[in-house]
Amino acid sequence: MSSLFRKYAVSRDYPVLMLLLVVALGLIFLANDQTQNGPAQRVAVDLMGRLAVPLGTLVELRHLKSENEDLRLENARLRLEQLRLREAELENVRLRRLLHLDYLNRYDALPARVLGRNRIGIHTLVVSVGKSNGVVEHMPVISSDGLVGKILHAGESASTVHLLADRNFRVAARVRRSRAEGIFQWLEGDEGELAGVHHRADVAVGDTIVTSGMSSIFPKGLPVGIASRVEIGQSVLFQQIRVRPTVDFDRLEEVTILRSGWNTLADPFEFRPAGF
Amino acid sequence: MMRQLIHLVLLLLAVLLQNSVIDLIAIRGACPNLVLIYLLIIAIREQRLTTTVYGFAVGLFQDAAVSGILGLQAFVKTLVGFIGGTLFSSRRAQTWWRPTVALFALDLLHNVLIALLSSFDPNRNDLISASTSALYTAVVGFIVLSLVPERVWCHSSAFGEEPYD
Repeated sequence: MSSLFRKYAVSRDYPVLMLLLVVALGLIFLANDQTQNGPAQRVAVDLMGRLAVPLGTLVELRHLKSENEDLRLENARLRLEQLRLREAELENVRLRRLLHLDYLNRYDALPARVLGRNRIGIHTLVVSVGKSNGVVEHMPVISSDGLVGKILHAGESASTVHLLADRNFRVAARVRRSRAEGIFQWLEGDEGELAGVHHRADVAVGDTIVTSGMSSIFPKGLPVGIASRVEIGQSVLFQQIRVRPTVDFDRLEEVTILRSGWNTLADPFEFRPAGF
Repeated sequence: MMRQLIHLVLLLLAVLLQNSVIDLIAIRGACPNLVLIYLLIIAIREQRLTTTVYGFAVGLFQDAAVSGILGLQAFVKTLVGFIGGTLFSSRRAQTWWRPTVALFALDLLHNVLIALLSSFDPNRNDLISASTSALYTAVVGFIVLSLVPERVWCHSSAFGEEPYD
């Protein structure tokens, strides 16, 4: 035992080993509570960074090809996903506009799918609800953007809708801002006019035209269109007001029928579709 | 003196490779420890004290440059260097398996000590990870040592120096 002790005692290795271990432990316990690196550490990190950059570039080059392929695949997948989400978003916006849940809850609204269109003669739509759903003639039909028309014929399970975009259609309307009243009727092309508005009435391009509630069919405040041209002649009594409809009749897919209570409302609503 | 300088440069290169391109040959997260392999070569060629000091120096550099915990690698590599130096300090003839087994044992010890001193978590399979890396280090070390000229397998006396012990 004593010879063993002597052997190790005279060895230089053990004192040096102890010294180095103590230094290392000292560093662990004393040098690591500093919030900032010391200068030696900064130099080491800097040296390591400078020397490792070229080697790191080699690694990056190796991964570049596979990463590029992965990104291409990911890109293709995301494009498809984007298309799908865009479609869903459009559908969502359309349905939310259509529903207007708060509004519909008050007016017993009946959603319907557009089954067909007729652009020859009287412009009509065929919708997927009829008498079995409580639909009767003259009920107002709206979409998320405003007034669509009224029920022309009610079948058992389908109905035809007389469109606002028909020359035979009339509805009492007013300028939302100035409350000037007139009669809306469809003209040729894609516009209608607000007829019978006094030449002194305050009407400007961009004004929203809404139903006035004077009719026994349509509730007050349904958007009909936007004034697109206003002309005031010197010697005429009425203004010539062109109105572009708020509803795109060619792209209607769903409509809502105001089934009951719509013509006995004490406090008519102001129906504001998105964008108005 | 020139040989010591070469050792330093090669150790620095090993640290560089260890912290840059080693991922290229990583297998399921297990990487060979190039620094330890070269430390073993030093242990074979040099005296035990020299290996111990080199272990401390390279560990300290790793601590400062990449480790983040100053003294951790220095402590562990000093111990590993000393043990490695002890294993190869005798005049016993070197065989092919001896450095390989030594590398496995040293790297296992190295990894376990590092894990223990930093944050060892048995539930995280630290021991399996340490063993896998140690095995990988042993394999790579065996390949490296097979490529080294035979005179390296001889003791430092082959270079005109007397072994310390």
